[in-house]
Amino acid sequence: MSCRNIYQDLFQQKMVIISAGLILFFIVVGILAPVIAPNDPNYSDIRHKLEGPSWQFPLGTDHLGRCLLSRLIHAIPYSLGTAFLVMLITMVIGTVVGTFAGYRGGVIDEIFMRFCDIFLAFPNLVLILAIVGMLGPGLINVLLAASLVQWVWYARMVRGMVLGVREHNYILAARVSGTPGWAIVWQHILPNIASQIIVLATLDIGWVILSISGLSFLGLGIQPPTPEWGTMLNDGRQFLRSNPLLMIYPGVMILLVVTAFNLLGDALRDVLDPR
Amino acid sequence: MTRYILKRVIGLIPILFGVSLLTFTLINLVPGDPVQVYLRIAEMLPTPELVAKVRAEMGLDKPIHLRYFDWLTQVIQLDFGKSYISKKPVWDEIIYYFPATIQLTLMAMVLILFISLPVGIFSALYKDSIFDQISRVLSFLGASMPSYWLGILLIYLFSMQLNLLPTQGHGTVLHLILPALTLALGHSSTYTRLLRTSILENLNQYHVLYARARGLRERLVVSRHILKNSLIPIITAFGMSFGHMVAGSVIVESVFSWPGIGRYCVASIFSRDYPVIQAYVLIMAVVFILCNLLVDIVYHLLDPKMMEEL
Repeated sequence: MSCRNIYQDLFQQKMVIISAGLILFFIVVGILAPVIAPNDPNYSDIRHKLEGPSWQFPLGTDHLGRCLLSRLIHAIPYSLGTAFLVMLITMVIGTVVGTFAGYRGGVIDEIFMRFCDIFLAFPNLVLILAIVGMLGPGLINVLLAASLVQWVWYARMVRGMVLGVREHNYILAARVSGTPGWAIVWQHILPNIASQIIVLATLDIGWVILSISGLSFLGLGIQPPTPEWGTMLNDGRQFLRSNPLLMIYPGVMILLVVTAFNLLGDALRDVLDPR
Repeated sequence: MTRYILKRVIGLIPILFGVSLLTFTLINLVPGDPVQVYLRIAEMLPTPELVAKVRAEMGLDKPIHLRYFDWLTQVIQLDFGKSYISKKPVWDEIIYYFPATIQLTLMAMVLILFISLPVGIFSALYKDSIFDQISRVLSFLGASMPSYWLGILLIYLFSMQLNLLPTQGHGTVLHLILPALTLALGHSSTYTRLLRTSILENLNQYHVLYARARGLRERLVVSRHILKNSLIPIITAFGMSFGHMVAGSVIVESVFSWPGIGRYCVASIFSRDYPVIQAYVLIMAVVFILCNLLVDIVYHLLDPKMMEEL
């Protein structure tokens, strides 16, 4: 399939445009947060607490009189950015280790697989909880824990993909003609499995967003007063009876972003990885 | 069959060994000297004599491999040490909180069956109907829904607006409904989709066509020939979900103040009760491993094709 066809296929899928557009919108708003947000997200004015929408506060204020819209916007780098970071770390480590194990094979591969068996014997969330529990609550520790747990899974998937292409004739041809190992991996193997890795990452990032904001919701992740959707939800919970909107907004944000990523992942899989 | 089970169980030994090693190493992630940490949490003054005494008590004066074997022999006898906070044996505490979690998980599994079986079957049999389209959209949203948000929304709707169910606590069946529903809804969407795909695949098989050709009533065709085969992947996934749900109940338990093991673990993280966290991790991993073993065995029993390979 030529590049041109892939792009045509992608654009024919309405879902890809909608979901990618939504994600792009969130990213741009997140980057431009200091410019776009109408107020300082952490400036609290108790005289304006729990107010409804107004010109000054478009979505109203929270229990400390902070602008809700500004907090939702400033939360994007924390809620989304951290998930991207975890994904980037796991993808890099997972791809390097997975490719190495898959391409080398033999004892290294065997050791790696036994290591995976042990790691994957733990439910993901339990292992993340355990690491955060030992290191202590906090943003950095959550990032560390999530990356430590996720990469193993990726490495195993990548290893499987490498095994799938390793015995193809063009790889054998390259090897016979004396191409060094790293060049085979870089020029022949990685380009062939890249699309599968991207699909995998897109399908999985929703899970990462959910778990990071879930940990923040429990109070184990990002600490107040830093704005983050999970912590905002937890704050809003106390005012469920009087001001349900406080917990509706951040929930809708998480749902929108995660749905967009899942839609995009599904659509990308249909186009890039048809099976 | 016995040979297969035996083979699987023996295969588990190295994994369990590795799991215990990893769990043991976790405690070394704790920043700072464990003795100082313990004394600070237990609110004791760290005099040099006390520090030396506690160090010997905790066995920290021994080399690490000896400590691991000491720990392992204790753990095998279900001795996970004492909680830093309550000073009671960790195992007793865990046994105290575990039934509530199991109760929640089992109820959630029943709800998953009640939701995803009918929805999945109807979606597949009336593919592309309005019902199918709505259920597909809902199951897609269900997979993207943060469980903590869903839980709060359910509290808002059923407890605060409709006044039907209690918001939190534990005791009656009424208390169980909302947390179990929260836990179940996310998973139901996965199962609905899985069942739908599985039935659609089976619909086009020759034996179904043949059953129809024989003039069997549609109900019999569906129940005997389609459902029976479509349920096998569901049962497999179900067993694996059990472990994930016991683990995933952490968030749901926190939302509903459900006195289960997940909430206990989160409380222990805040109070830095390290032996409890360690025991939680190890027990969860063992539960998870045993569930997967059980699933594999059931799968082999159910699928005649797998039996032939034995």
